[in-house]
Amino acid sequence: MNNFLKPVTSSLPDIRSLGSHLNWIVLLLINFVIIISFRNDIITPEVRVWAPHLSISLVLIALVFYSRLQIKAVDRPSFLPLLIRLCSLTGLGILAILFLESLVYLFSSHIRLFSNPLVATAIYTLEILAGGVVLSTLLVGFKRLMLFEKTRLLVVSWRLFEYGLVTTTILSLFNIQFNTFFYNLIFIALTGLGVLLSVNLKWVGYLDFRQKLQALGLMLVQLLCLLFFTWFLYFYSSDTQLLYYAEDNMLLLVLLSFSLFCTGLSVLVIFFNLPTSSVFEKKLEDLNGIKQLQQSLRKKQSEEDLYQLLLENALKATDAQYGWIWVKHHQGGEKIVQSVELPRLSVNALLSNFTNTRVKDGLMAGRIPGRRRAFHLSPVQHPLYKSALVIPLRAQDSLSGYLTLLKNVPSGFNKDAIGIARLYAEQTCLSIENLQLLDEAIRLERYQEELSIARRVKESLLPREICCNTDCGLFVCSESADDVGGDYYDAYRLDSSRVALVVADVSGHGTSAAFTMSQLKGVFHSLVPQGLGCRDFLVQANSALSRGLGRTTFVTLVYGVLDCTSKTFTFVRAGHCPVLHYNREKNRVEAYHGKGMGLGLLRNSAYQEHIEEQTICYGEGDALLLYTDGIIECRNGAGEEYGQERLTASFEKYAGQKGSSAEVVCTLLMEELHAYAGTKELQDDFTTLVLKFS
Amino acid sequence: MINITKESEENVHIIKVEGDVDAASSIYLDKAIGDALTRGQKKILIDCTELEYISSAGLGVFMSYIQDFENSDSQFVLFGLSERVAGVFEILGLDQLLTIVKTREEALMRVSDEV
Repeated sequence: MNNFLKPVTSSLPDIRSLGSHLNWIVLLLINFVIIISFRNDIITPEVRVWAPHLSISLVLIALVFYSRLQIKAVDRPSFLPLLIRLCSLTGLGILAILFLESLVYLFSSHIRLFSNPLVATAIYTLEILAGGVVLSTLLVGFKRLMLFEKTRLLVVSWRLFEYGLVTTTILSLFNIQFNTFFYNLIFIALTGLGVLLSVNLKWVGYLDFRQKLQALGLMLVQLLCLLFFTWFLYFYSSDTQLLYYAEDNMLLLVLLSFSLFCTGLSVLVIFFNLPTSSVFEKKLEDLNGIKQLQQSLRKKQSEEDLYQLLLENALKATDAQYGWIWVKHHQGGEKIVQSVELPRLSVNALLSNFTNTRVKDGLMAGRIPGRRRAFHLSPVQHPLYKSALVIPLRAQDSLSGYLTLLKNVPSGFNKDAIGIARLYAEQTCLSIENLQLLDEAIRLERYQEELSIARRVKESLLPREICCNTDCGLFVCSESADDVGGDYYDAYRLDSSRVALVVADVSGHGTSAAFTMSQLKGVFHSLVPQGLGCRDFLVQANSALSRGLGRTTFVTLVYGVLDCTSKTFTFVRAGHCPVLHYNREKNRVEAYHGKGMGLGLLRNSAYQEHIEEQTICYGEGDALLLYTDGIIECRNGAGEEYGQERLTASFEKYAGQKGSSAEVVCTLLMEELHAYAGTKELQDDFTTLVLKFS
Repeated sequence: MINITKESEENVHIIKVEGDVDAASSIYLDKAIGDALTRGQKKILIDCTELEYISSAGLGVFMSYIQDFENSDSQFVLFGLSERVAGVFEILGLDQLLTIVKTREEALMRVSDEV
């Protein structure tokens, strides 16, 4: 029996359990000593009456403590193992009693020793102890079962019950006999408390149908065993040979009555719960369905899998015989998801049986008007299916599909079924919505990352310092929109008196613009040192870029050479904004349009016919402005463009101010532009290059 | 925003472009012209009377088809450009490569003349 009580999980000897083993073995020995001492006259008659009960009570209490160490707190899956353990222990206890009884029966007529009252009492004591082991274990076992869902009241009443049990031990000192007034009073009070506690049979509800059947069998066996023990006590209460009677021990009786009540009630409760267990199982299944749906989101399943999961769960939860999901993909296109476990039927053929024409037409067209959350259709004119449930699926506030379920009885979907199907649908939609949002976030993140790379590339392509002749000041302002544009500028000293300048704009935005810009920079730095004329430079650049640019990409630029000996600026305009020249003498700005064409527009030798070299002669105080189209196309709050006229007028005003340097002119122009654009962020790149001659 | 409508008059295919053609909307313009070419349209007119703004991406679309028009011997005429839009074509030099006329009648005449 000791082996049986040992926990299976730990093989190491637990010191505490060893202590309690010793405890009850020592008490058992004391018990025997007391019984033996009956023979002698050492012990007074008063002591004879209470000593055996005290020792039995102490043994029982020790057993309870021992059981508490052995039987740990239980949870849902371990209810049945615990019940099996309790039942087999009860059976073993009763078998031990039966074994001892059969020994007595067999040998009492042959061996005289058995007729000795002392020996008879010793055997009786052993049997009572076997019963005591069973009862104390049952007490702890039932306590674990009842307290698996704790409430404060329950915990307090258990404690009260346990204190009461301990107190009975002290009562036995007062020599209270069975069936006296005080005995009955205390017994009834404690048993009543035990009965009140034994009503807490919530654990029964957590067993499924199979488990309940098993538990019912176990409890019936246990009940029979306990009844046998009761009969055993009753039988021996009239045996005059015995030196004491166990029923005088209140603790034992209270434990017995408690175990009887608990087992009996459990039998009844389990029996009457059998028919309703399917309801509970169903609810658990529903909950599991939701859990599965939620977990599937974490696993990052595909939309297809989620719909499949929804369909399977909805079919199971509503007991529907057939169902499908019609899905409208957000990229366009539609799809019908059918269960893998059911035969694939034609959805349109099934739909034609619906009597509600509005829903039927809606489902056929993939759009039911209104915002109703569920449609319960009954009757349906079909030989097999008599009612239908249609639930619209909505993700990100727009319809993404319909869940349709069919059942073979009219009005087959009750409120609960509709509720749970809707819950599943909503949960799935939420999951799909999250999936889509996640995808979008990742895409955006990747785009931002690309942009930031493009921006860094672009910044590294622009020169840190820009050279110029001694007779003029040069200043560049260049600002980028968030979305990277493709403005480029650079300068290169040809010889002591000549500097080549370029201001360019690459079509397109983002990463591609940055790459085109790097091509342009390569072309500029490889062609300029060759000392080509402006016209030849452009022809060569067009030929080089034409081979590298994308189909719809082109580059516009102004390329020019500043010569401080001849005081000229010779330039070509490749489809770029005209150069503005402020003439100090005339105090007027002149725009140099001339003939020109963007690089990459015409990808053959005919290109050279479309360009024209122009020369500006400058004097002291004159200024030149090279800029990109972001400036004139900059819009204000009303959507009106800044335009060529405004720019010309402002340049004339700022360049004409006495002693204004290139930096001042450039800064003033940009400030004005920002004031014009207002608080709006830049839509394009702005680049202005100002030359001021002295 | 962009709105593209197509109409065919006898054997003349007219694509009407309304609104702004920017980097995002230029793909629709690209598709419309590309479709017309693959269907073997020889006379394609672009109605720009309602075209408010065209970005470099939109200009890139027109530019990219110049060679295709020459190769397939198609006639391609733009008409009804606003002053501002025409200026953009002009600055870039695209007006030297494309046929740009003022009105629809002129455009129709141009394609019928050259038959």
